[in-house]
Amino acid sequence: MRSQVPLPAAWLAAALAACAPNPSPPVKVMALVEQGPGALQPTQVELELVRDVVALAGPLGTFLGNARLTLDASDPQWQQATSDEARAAAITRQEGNPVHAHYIDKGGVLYPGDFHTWSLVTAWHGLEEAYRYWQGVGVPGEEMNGLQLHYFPEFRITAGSPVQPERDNAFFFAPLQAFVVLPFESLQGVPLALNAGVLAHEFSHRVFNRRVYGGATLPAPLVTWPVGGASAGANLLKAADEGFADFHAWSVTCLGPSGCNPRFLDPSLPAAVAEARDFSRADRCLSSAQRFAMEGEPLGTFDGRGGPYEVGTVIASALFQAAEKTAQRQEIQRAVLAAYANTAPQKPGLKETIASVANQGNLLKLETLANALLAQVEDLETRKQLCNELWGRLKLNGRVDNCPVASAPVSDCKEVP
Amino acid sequence: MSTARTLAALPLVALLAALPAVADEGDGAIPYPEDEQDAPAPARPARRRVVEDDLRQSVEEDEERSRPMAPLDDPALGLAGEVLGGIMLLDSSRGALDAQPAFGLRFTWELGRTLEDALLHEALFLDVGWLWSRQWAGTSAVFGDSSLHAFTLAPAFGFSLGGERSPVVAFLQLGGGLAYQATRISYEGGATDVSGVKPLLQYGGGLRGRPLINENGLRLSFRVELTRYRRHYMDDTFLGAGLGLDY
Repeated sequence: MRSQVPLPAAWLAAALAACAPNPSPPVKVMALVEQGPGALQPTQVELELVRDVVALAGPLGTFLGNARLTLDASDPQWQQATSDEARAAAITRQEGNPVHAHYIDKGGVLYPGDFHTWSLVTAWHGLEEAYRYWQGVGVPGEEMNGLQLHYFPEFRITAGSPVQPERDNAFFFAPLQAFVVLPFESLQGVPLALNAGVLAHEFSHRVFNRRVYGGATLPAPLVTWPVGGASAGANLLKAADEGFADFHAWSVTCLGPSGCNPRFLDPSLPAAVAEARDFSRADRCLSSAQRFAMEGEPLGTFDGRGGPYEVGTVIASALFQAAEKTAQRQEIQRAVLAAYANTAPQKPGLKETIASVANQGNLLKLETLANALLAQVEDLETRKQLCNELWGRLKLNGRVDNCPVASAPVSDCKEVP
Repeated sequence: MSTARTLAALPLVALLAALPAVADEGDGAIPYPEDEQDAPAPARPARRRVVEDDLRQSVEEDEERSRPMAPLDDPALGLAGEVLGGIMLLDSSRGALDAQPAFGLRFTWELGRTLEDALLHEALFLDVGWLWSRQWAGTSAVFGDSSLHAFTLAPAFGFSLGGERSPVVAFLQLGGGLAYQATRISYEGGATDVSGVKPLLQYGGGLRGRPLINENGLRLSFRVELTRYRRHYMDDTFLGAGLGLDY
């Protein structure tokens, strides 16, 4: 039967009824995936933790765009906030909108239709990769679900005076328990959102926050320990968080098509910064000055000049070298996770150690950290190698309790000034 | 002009309808109801019938004259062409609006001229348009370059502003078409092209002006408009203007 609907009307009806794509997971999409160190290639991937592929929302979490976030220490609303919700409200000046990914359907595979959709989809894929890694290491999915990522927000940190929005960074922002990917400006390499290693690094911060600090928006050790001058314990926790995140990020790259890449920062950061963060160098070692600074500086000073990255790189180096030399990467991954929190009396994790030192943050030392890590390693040879690496690279004060008797510090590192 | 004649004829029609009543009232006693059935209809005086017939004939002739006069009053073809420019607020995937310059062409056919209806004659027109905008984002190492082309066919209805002879109308428009999008994502060592065609819904409104610029019927054609484009499920907004000629 011939249709009685005139052609223009049919077009209008079609256009009005045009709905966004809504395939069931796994959703086949194209993303920019590293096929070699720094070599991005459009690659078909499957997103499994997404329910709305346009808004990029699902069990994994939600992506928001166009938010306005300001952390203003002089803001009375911030100062008077006593709950997580109140703090989040003080920071969030504009909630933002769900992102609106634009696709072109090619035979059931969704191709991103613009740069930001490529970026968003690739970021989502990167976070799914990190999620799967952590699941493999032993973190239940429910613990990782529901993340929030602010994509290209207007983000400011100030103490009352007007400041320009921050640029060129991606981080896990504990006060909101959210990831933040800022617009790029001076960084003109591979955007941070497209760097799976960077996303895995930030994802690891979230796991650390949940396991060690119980998901606190303002972790108590970082708030209460730094009172008055030196804050060795808080500095060490920040450094450990960075070092562990680098190690886990490297581990996540091992799951990708390009294989393990400890220099995952290279495509995105300036060469000097990436070089300083290269934990795969065999001669990476903690200098006396670095240790002195960590133990003597206030958190603000130590954090502000990148101290956590300096010390963290050495911690990551010890983990990396032990994993490479023993070929027991997964054992060390699991041990690091277990060191976050472990209620077994003989193997207390960082969470338990923090509780045990109470308000005496200065009691938390590199040796305490090494002991917490080594206690989680079952395999004796692996524990010995890890002990050797930690002992030699972190310049521990002698053999720590959980080092096997045959341990000896590695001596192939040199002090980086 | 034709509309003016039609409107001028209306008082005549009203007068025509009123005349019999006036005549009846002044033409002898009003019959009782029971008498009405039996009473023969009063014969109208021949003089009044003549006047009545003359008036009717006058109106009919006037209408008859006015019908073919419209195209003679304005012999223009009713075709216009405009160059468009403005700002396209693209529905950005990052959850915000992305303002980009947009350019295009538009051809207008004053479709109403083919219709005898006085209202539609001046009010209805049809646009065939093409509008282009571009979206670039990224870093030196990885960037995307997208071209968006909107091809639309959209009828519009104008509401006269400032009187019947005003050269400016406010218009509302609803139409549709196709959006063609081509995107190239470039990365170190290569680039990938992605393109596709999507259904497009267009709606909006604005002001349209056609002031006469010479006695041959050539007119300037301009518009100021706010037009929304629903590109599959993406909503773009065009704030722009058009300038061209109409004949």
